[in-house]
Amino acid sequence: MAVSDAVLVKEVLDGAKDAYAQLVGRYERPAKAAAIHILGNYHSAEDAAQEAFVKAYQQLAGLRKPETFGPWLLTIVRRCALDMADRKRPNVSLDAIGDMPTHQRNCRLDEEKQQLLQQVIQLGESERQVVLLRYFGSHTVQQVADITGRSVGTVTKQLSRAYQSLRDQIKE
Amino acid sequence: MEPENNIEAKLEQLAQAIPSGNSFVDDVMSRIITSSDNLQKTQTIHISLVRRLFMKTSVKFAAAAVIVLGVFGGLRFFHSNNSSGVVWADVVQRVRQANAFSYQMQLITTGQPLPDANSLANMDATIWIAADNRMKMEIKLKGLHSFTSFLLPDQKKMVYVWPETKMYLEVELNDEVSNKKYLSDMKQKDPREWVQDVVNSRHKSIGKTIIDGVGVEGLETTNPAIAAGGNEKTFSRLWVNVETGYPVQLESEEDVNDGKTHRRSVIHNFQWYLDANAAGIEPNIPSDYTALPKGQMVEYTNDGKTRVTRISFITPGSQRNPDATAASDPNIPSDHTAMPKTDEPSAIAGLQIYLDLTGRYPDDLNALTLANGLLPAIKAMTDKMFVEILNLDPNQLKGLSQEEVAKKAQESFTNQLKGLSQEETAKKAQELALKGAQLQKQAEELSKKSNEWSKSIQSLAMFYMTLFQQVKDPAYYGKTATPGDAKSVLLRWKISDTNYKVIMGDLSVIEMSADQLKEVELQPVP
Repeated sequence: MAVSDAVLVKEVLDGAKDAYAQLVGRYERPAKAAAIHILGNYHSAEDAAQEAFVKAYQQLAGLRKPETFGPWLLTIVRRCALDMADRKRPNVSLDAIGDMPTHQRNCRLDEEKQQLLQQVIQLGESERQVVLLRYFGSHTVQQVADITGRSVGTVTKQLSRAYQSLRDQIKE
Repeated sequence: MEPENNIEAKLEQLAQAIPSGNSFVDDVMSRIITSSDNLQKTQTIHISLVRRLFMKTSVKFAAAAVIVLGVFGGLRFFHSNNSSGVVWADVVQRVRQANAFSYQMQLITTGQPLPDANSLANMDATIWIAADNRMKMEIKLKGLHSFTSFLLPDQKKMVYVWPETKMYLEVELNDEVSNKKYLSDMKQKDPREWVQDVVNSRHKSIGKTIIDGVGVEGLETTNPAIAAGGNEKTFSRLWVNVETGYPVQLESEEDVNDGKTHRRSVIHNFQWYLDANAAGIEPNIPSDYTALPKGQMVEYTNDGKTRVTRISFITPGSQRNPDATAASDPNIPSDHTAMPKTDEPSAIAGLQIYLDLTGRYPDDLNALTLANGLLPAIKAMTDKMFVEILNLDPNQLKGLSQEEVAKKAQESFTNQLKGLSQEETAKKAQELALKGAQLQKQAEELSKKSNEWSKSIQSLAMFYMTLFQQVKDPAYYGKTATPGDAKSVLLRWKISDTNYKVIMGDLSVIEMSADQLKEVELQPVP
């Protein structure tokens, strides 16, 4: 059984920093995905994600509801990515992509994936978290339920709603 | 299946497109630890981690094994995938404690020359830093000559020594000059600071490799603030010995000048345990070396924003002992002590001499730049003298120092006497003695000329500095003015509220209004 986010957060606050390593491993891909959505390339997204995890760790004591670690972290990722985008604005211009060397262009998602990622990020908070954990975190539905502290039924419903919402947007 | 019905597969594909690396968790945890200045916290983490692992019976054996490894190998672990062998916080702490050490550095610049390029763009250097903050740099400029510089904060001076031409320059320092600034002027950084910056920046693990037979593990960061140039497109790498935990190599690369120029810097061959002190870093200038006039570091700004450090000559000098004056030393010619003139004709003469000797105008009018530009020309003349008089092969002298050339000449003399009969030896010796005398005469003449040239470029540097001190809005365009071109501005300064005096590329001098100047003048090079 996967340890829930809430339990891991409490352990970190008790001084067990290796518990935080588990949280980092759990949210690595979701965090990178959220950052790629804003920054457009992997390298910058990795930097922003790293920065967000460090900030989250430093501010963890201020997190009132430990079970909301995931959504809370993604808010920090978004803020870090936006800050980075501001700092690097001349470098992330879409107009400049065509002029980039191939290896730099390859560090970006293709248009279809970028669009899907945008739709995922725009899902409601609960749906977004379960989709990110299920697919980007490679967790089973049971594990997602354990991690979020929700029932398997709730997670299944949230995933179904997310699929429907994404299908509707693709149709549009 | 229609795309809208295949949403789960699409999500799987999207997730797979987002990379995940084993080092990510480790990198984050490393940053968390190193962001804390208190190393004690690192120990707490280890203890906490070990305690937790022991509490879980299912992993007891693994914990014991890791502890054993940790004791013997200094291994750190945060999660099962971690393969790191270096405690980065310890590396920072270790180099902070190193206060006397040495290292070698290579700076390589390729592609289009930079607008602010100088002779330091490509060089090999060996650097010593002592506990009292004295510093010594032995610098070999690629394709040019070598010189040694000394930073002596306790004496508030810097000393530049050119062994090939037996010249040296002492420069007074103000209180602001430090090792940091000294290295910054060389477009370099204190390695201790560099290590700390890499570890404390957003970084990623670049795994393990072998450098010079040593097992190392590395970190890489793209933080633009770390490279000396502060360019945005840059990366810095730190390689640390996995056994000792000491840095083995630091590298930085950056593309500048809109990607047209590439700069690479490598720092390696560290000796972190030097027993160096002030006595180890001492200029010890031989008595037959000629002193350039003593200088001082002057900071000025022309545009009210950019501060530029320049060496300005303050006293005439011709001998090593600064307390002895030429007036009290009959062996020194009286004209040796004459203060270089700072007037316009002397400045033009300096420009002409530099042009004659090097085939171009100097990039800037800093005394050090001028000296660095002139010395290779003098070296080339010395080599030519040896080649002509002693019939040496010019190719044999390429890249040799003055001392090595002299040694070659001596070898040539000896070789010519080998296998000769007594009579032939006597005859050959007489011939060689004549050549020796001829060589000595020419060397003396060259030395005298060198002093005159040296004085001329001092006049030029002093003239330009005086224009700044008198707030005459001077500007110099040595990088863009074409020799012989009567239409390109080389040097200009204000002579009244509305008029400027201008030295053109052909060294003609004309007066013009500020409006006329705008028309002919290129934009100043920053």
